[in-house]
Amino acid sequence: MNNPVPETPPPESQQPATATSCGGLFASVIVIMLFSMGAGLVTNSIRDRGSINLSRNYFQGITIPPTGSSNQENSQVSGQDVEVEPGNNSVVSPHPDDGIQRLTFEEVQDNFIVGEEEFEASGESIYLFVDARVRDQYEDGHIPGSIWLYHYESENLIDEVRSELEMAFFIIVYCNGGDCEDSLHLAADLMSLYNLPPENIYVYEGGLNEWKEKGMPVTVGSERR
Amino acid sequence: MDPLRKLDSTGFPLLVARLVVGFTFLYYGAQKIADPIGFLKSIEAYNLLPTEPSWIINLIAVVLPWVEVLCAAALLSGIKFRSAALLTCAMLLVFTPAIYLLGTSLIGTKPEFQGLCDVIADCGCGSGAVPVCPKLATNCGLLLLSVWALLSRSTRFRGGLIPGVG
Repeated sequence: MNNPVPETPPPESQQPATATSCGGLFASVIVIMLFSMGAGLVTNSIRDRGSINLSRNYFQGITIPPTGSSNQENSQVSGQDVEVEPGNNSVVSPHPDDGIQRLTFEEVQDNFIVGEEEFEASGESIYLFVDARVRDQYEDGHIPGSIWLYHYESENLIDEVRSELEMAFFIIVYCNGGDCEDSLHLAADLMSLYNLPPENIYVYEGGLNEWKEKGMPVTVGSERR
Repeated sequence: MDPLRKLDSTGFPLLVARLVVGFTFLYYGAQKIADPIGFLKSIEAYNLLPTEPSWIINLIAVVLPWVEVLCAAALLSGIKFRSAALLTCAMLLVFTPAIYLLGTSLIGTKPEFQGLCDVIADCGCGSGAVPVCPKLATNCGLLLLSVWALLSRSTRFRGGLIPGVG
C-alpha cells in the first residue's frame, strides 16, 4: 500500500517574498529614509563649499513661475509694459511686477562706458557690476570691474563686498542670461536680505552671454579688471 | 508554469534589475551629492514644490540624493533590497511624470522645440541637459526593473553580489 508522501514545506530561505511581511518592508523603507536624512544633513553641515542653508529661501523675487521661459526676450523689451497672457504661467512677462528693475544691453553698455571713464579718472565709480555666478565661471570671464557674489553663497561673501555695494548708486547684477535666474534671485536678496536700496539695484538679464555676443570686453581670471 | 514565473525563477532578471537600477541610482545620486546647489536649482525649475517655507525644497535637495545612493547600496549589497526597490519605484513614479510635465512646458519655447521629443532639458537627474523622450523611456525601463526586483520570488541572486556581503 502506497502511503501518500506528505508535502514538506520548502525551507524558509526559499520563500523570501512571502516570508517578508509588508510591515518589515515598510519598516526598512523608513530606516533607509532616516539614514539618508542623517547622511544628508551631516554632509551638508561639514561641506566646505556648496552647502545649503535649510532656512534660506534661495528663490526670492520671482512672482511669476519661470519654467520654460526664454529670458533673452526680456532683455530686448525691458522698459516696455507687456501684458501677461492670462493662465499662461510658463512664460515670464518681459516686465514682471516683481519690483526688480531690468536693463537692456544698450543701457548696460552706456553705464559700463561711463563707469569705466569715472574709474579711470578718479579710481572709483558709482556703477558696480555684480557677477552672481559660480567662481569658476567668474574666472572664465566677467564684465570688467565686476565683483564676485555667487548667489548661493552670498551669505558668506556679502561682508567682503558690502561697503562697495553701499557706495554704489547703480548696482547691476548679471549671470549668464538665457534661462539663468540667479541674477534675479540675487537682486531680490540684495534688497530684502541685505537691505540695500531697491532703487539702486538693476538686473541685466541678457547676461554675460549677450555681453560677449555683442563683442564687449571681458576680464579673465580672478582680477576684477 | 507561467513563462514569466519560469523566467523569474532563473534569477537572472532579478540580477539584472538589481545591477542596472543599483548602478544607475548610485551614479546619479553621487552626481547630485557632488553639486547640491545645482540639484536644488533643478528641482525648483519644475515649479512643483513651494519655495516657502524654504526648508521643504532645501531639505529635499539635501536628502533625496542620499536616498538614491542608499537605495543603490541596498540593491547592490542585497541588504533590504526589496525595500530599496519599493523606494526606487516610488521615486520613479514621481520623477517620470514630472519630467514629462517639464518637457511639455518647454514645447514651443525655442524654435527647435517643436514637439516633446525635440525638447532638451536639464531634468535635475544628475545627467545635465538631455533629450526628454529617451529620458522618459529610460525611466520607464528602470521602473519596470524596480517592480521586478520588488516582486521577484526568485531564490537566486537575492543576497550579496560580492561573496560574504548580504
